[in-house]
Amino acid sequence: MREVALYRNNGLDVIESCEFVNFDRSRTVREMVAVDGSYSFLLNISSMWLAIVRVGGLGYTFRDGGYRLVDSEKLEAPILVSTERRVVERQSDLHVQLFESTRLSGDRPRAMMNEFRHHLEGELTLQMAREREGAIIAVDGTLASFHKESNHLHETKTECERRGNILVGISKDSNSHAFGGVRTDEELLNGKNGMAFVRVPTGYEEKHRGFLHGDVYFARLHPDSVKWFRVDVGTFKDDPSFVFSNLAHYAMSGLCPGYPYPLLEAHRFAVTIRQFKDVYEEVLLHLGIEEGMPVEEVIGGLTHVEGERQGAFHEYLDQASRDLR
Amino acid sequence: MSEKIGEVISASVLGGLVAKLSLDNPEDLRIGYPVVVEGRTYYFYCMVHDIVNQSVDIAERLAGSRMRDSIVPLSETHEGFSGRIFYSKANLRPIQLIHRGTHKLSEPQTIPPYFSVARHASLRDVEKIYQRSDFSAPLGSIRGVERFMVHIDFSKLTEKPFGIFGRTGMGKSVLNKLVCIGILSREVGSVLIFDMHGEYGVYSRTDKTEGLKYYFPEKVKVFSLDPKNKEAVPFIIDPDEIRPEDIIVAFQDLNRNMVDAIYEINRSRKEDIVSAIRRADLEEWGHRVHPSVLSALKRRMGRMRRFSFVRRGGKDAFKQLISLIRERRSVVLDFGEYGTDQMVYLFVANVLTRRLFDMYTERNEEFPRLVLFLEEAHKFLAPNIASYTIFNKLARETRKFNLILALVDQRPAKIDDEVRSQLANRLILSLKEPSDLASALAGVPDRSVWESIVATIPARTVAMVGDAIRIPTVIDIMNYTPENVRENILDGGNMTSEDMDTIAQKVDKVFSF
Repeated sequence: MREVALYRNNGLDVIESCEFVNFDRSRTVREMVAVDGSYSFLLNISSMWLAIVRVGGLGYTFRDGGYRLVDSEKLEAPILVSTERRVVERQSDLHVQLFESTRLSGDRPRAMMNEFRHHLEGELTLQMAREREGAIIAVDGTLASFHKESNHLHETKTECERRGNILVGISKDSNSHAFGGVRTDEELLNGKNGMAFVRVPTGYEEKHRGFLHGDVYFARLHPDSVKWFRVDVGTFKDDPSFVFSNLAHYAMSGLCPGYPYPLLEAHRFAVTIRQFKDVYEEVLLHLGIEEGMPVEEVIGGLTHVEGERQGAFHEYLDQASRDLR
Repeated sequence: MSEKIGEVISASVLGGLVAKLSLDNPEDLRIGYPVVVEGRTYYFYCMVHDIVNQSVDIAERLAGSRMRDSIVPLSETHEGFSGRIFYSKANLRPIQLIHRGTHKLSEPQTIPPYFSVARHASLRDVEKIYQRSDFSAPLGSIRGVERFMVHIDFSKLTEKPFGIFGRTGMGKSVLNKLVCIGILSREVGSVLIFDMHGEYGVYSRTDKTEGLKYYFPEKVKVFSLDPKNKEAVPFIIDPDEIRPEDIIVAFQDLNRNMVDAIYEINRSRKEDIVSAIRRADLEEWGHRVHPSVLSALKRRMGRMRRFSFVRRGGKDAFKQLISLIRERRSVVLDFGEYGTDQMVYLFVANVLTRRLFDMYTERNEEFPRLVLFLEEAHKFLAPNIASYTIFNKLARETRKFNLILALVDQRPAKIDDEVRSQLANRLILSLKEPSDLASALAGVPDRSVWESIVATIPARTVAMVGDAIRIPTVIDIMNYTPENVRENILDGGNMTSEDMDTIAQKVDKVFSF
């Protein structure tokens, strides 16, 4: 415990030396677009994983003291990823690029599927950013691309700059240690109250310069926010107060004070894909039979949402271990 | 087309439908409202039987939390991708299917698909369901449908015994009056009313509203037990007409030994039963009736001394009454000063009904249909007393003889089960006691659904079930005014406003109102 107590404050001195900027909500309110995606693995046959990806983009306005849904867009696609080169070589260039760029990943199918999700999110964000001017375009997560080929961040940023859109990436949960603490940045900032933002030390951005498409901040968008959120600012970088004062209008929901309500809805919209798993499985069975696959093989290949087979032997062992306790 | 209220999210033939509501405010919907669910083949005509805000963890967390400067996630402030964040649900009970093409009606034996639209029932919907006939008239409008007066078939209503149940102050008297007016206006029978509180004559003594004689001066005759009522025909009961059962029912508190004693005296009496009991000598009867029982019985008989309407030498009112009924006229028996005396009521009602029953069974072909309104019915039909009264028999055999019982009561649970099961139609106002709810609705399909509806309906609202109405229906009873009665029940054409004014003037002269 002594060691825990010793290290837990590590980084607080850096926090104290940072400049916290307080801000108020802007007088006018911009429209906001929130984009988020999710996927669900459905089938695993040998080295091939089939999943369904869903991305939702919701357009919101803040009017008459409430959040009004203006429009919504959806992208949904079945994606096949494989860890077998012979399969991947017959697929698209993007498949091949992602296959190469994820080779060091511990969980390659998931890493590839995540990149496909980013890719589709980027596609939809770009599309919706093109349709608007003077809006807020918010994506779930950071404005970072570790696989340039898989998202459209650069294009999106350019498009937003041209159209006067604020572009931000907001992370639901950030594990960064930009302030150099043993604890995460979010944990270190927890004691700070009020509506404010703080930019992370420049060293952190320098370190990730190749991947970042925005400046990295932590912000508290509501006085009762449960936490500080990492916000990557992609446009209007020279005026972060302007960005946060606009964004704060959408972070007033009693459901999630401090987190933009449109992003919560976009998330809810995207994860419905997991609730519809049964429906997709039924479709898979029909299609499998149509393609001449034995029913047993399809049923045997059905997976949990994260890609593990439902009938995997380790599941049996886990169950048996519990029963034997 | 009426306003959409939501979409079906679950359904079961046995359990009913659940609709996710798209209303901003669940208060726009009420229990008992008719709702139409648009299936592919059928319109499902349903009744709302519950409205629910389900418990949600996040709502529990939010409730009572004092967050500064935040927006409460109500349906009017937060639009979600699939509608409202917090929404209400309505449980709907299908009552009738209407084929979308042929408009043919059928019983609900299937369910609509997911996401079928639920909407308020419109005038056009209800017009497809409720048909009119020459014998129908409205008692009020359907809850939740604008301007639709729902018709009751009074011919069917008066074919078999029926019940009017409800707590005090819920509108039983007004409903009674409307039912009587319906019966008389459609000429499906005559009525006999024991008017305890002077409500059914020309004007009600309690609230000054119009009575039956106001609307039907030629059809209705008022008799009175009260000698002070000079406008009515005096109602005299000859002591010779009194039977032991009349006394047993009237007293309500005689024990087994006293009842046996009455029958013992009745077997060998040489005069009327009341006098015979009063004069029963302890020495003479001591070997057959225990002296203490006889003494107690004689003391109790003292109660009947105040019955000034029981006397010899008066004109036999019963004969007059019978001849009026034969002429298809109706009778209101005003209790006057005896109005608060329950014993008088029980006694008179039993004597009169017993004699009517005898008359109807012996010479049935001579008499038209007569509906006998029996208030406080449980006093006659309680399991411990029913066997002594004629009402038990009457309720079972009534329709064979055209003498129909209308039971009016606030405690249906106290009425003998077997008698209650004879009721072909029930008009049920608000009830709260679970046993009364269960009894009033015994035998009704979906009883539990109707129990929840009846337990929550407001005053002047009646749930009607039976063969006199197409489907079980919740009706807002019409305001009891001469205009409403004339326009909706008397058809406005049967009686001109001049006629009504003439009647009113005559009445005013008589009563100097």
